[in-house]
Amino acid sequence: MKLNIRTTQSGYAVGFKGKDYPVQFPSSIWQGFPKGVKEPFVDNMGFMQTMELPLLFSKSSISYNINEPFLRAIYFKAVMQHLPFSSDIDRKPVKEEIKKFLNIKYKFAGPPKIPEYKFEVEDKSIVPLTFGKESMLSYALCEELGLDPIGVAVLESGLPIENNHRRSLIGRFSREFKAKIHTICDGTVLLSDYQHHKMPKTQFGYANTLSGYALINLPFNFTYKARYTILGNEQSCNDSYMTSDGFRGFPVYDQSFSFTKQCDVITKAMSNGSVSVVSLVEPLQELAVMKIFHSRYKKYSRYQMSCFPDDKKSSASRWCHHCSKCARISVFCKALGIDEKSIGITEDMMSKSKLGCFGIFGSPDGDVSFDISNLGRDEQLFSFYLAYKNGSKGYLIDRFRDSFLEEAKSREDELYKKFFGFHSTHTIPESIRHELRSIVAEELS
Amino acid sequence: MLKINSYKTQTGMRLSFRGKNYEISYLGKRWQRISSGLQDTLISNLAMVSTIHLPIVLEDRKVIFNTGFPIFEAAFYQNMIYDIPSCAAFNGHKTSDVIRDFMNTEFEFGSYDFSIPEVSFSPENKVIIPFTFGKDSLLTFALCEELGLKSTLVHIEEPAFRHEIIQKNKLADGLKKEFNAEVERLGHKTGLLRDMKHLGSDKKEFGWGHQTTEYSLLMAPYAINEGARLILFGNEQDNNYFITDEEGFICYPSFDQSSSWTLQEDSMVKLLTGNSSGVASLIEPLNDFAISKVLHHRYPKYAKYQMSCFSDETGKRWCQHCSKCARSYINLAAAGADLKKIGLKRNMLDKKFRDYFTIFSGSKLDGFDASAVARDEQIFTFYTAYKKGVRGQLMEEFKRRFLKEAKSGEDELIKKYLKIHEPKTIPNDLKKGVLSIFREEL
Repeated sequence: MKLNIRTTQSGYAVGFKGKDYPVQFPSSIWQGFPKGVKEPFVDNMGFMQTMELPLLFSKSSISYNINEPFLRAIYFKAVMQHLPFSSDIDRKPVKEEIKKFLNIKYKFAGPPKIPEYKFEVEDKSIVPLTFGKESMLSYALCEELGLDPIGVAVLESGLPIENNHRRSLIGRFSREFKAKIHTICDGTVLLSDYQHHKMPKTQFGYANTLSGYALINLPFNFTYKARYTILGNEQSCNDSYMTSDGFRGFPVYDQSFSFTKQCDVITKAMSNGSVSVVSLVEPLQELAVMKIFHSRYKKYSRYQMSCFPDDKKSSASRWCHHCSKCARISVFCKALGIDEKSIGITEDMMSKSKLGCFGIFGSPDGDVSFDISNLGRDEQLFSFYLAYKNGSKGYLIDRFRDSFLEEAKSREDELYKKFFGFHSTHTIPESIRHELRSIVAEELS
Repeated sequence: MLKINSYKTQTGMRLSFRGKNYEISYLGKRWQRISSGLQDTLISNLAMVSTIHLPIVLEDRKVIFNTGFPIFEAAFYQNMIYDIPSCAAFNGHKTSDVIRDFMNTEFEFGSYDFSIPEVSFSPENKVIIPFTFGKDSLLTFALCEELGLKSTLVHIEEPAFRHEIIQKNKLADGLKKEFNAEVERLGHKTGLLRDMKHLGSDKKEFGWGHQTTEYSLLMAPYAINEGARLILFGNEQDNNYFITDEEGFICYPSFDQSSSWTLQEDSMVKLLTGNSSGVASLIEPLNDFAISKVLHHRYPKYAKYQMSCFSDETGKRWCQHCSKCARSYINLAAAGADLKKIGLKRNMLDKKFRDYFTIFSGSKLDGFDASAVARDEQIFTFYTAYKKGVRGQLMEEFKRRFLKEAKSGEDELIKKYLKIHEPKTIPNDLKKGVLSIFREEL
């Protein structure tokens, strides 16, 4: 297996099996990125985005034309800790997949290179913007905390419908708020896409998604002298379960606080200590994120897009209305008294036909790791309970009442504390922590 | 739950575990001359790297450190994972079970704030050599002298081998007297945390597989103090060889000494020293036997100080009843070294030493010698010694059982074990000089 990675006028491109998979930055951003950082940047990005390819293609070695990435161990850890979950969902023995991964031989053209460039930074932030509730709340919080956010949206190849919606949101959002939102076109995502390779469905290939988000924004940190990159990794990303063969499985290990610290190591090591990765929503559960976002930052909340619409039916709406994410957001809205229509959810998500979209009524199918694991069951239980108390109606509310109401009532205090609590702040700098806590307290008390 | 608390001291750090203190203590002002930020970074990282195996050894799934988040946590994790197959084999465990237990272990830290130390200096043509008096470090020292690199030699005392420390101190005195070469000692009681006897465990080998990773960090203050451009380990080519274990996992006898891992150590030291210093191994292109050959032929004045044994209570520098002594014996005999001059006084080709030789599948093999990787090279060294006229009872057995194999595979063995391999860790400006010396000798 051979990969040919080269820098281009506007970024870099990964050559694999005769095809080019380019990553394109705005020209001025890439051209201004210092040479001494560019090479290790491409070594690290190129490797982390492709290191799972031998697993996908059942190969035992891979040869790169780039230098060995100096932060290789971090990407290794992300894959290792993701393997129990991905193997479990793919119904493969975890031990066998780990063995395959450990036995892969990676060959590089040269030894690691360490960037030598010290970034000058100010209190500004780069917010990777997906228009999901976490990234939007992070953006709004940065503004309130005086961290001057600059939004960067990554448009991934192979998602024409989702990208059209996102482009439309970027345009409207920038115009309405006179906000700076840049885009990066990332063609390498296709390399992890089983459909692109005409393979059976698999969870492999996505272990370093957040390492990628942390690092890919570095050229913007440099241009804007931004001290922070803000990821939207909320508290539930730390959740895990035991797989049937006894491994701890993390549906989104790369979003856990522990790995967010590794992302912090990545950006600090690349910028000579200047750029930090932070998750302002770390102390919050999803329900709390939703509550704060929709009560405190109403002007932004109508731009929310938490679904990955990928079929023709979704070309008119940014919510597909038939996935576990749409379902989750819908019940959150009902629980918090948010008008679903204001964010574009127009179908009745409490109808019988949506039963399979909710984890609480059995494990849902789909592509959303967290929902497949059903680790969000308690949050859904609590949300249904709040929705029921708010007077929401529908087949699924009745179903909830008949099957789960008693449990929810008996656990109300525990669930309230968990889902509206202020949890760990390991990824948040001390200078911000106090003010953030005060904003959260205002909204959740 | 294992609690590991570490504190800064005037001369280094103190690690407390289960009511006992383990000190790392630098001489003079070595420690005080580095910045407080770097001291903190070293303490949090050394606390983790010197204890990362404890949850496996002591069968606990949670460790709490009072220290900050170690920036090299992922590197320690990877190092540990790749070391598990060889340790599992030694203990008769299944690799996959040990990997699972390790992956399920939770590590918690006192704080999660950290910074990249701000260090900058202009390196000179100086190097730091973690010095063991083994053939690898002696050859490295000699090569540096010939290449015009000024060496600072540091003996990191491994408290699990107290007899070895006594012997090495004697050798250090000799080196000082004869060549005015100072060997500085680094007190390193955290080494006891990989001594299974000390820990009261019947497990073997765990903890030794990240020794050079730990040493890389321990050497950073010397590099900064001395303005050294490199920390030089004696990681030879054999460390890149691996086998496959019973479950099919790749198994490196000493993963932390492989070229690939040396490059990661290089990155770590570069990050700690503002890219001013790094890690390399000048002897990387050579196999075990070739090292003996070059050392004893080109640098006999230093070769006579060789000590490759952990020593014992007999007070001799070669115990002559371990597999390291056996391997060294046949290597040195094949290299034409004067065995008596370097202290190997008993004839180890006597049949009573049979159990210490890899090729005879001896029952008393340690570490590298117990791995299948070591077998072919020993066939080659026996064969070379045989051709040189070395004789003994075990040579007779070799003749009977392996001579035919050695003869028929001679070309291949020469190619493999006397070849000068392409180095990955030697900086370009030193490569030419090093390779030219090796070419002259081999």
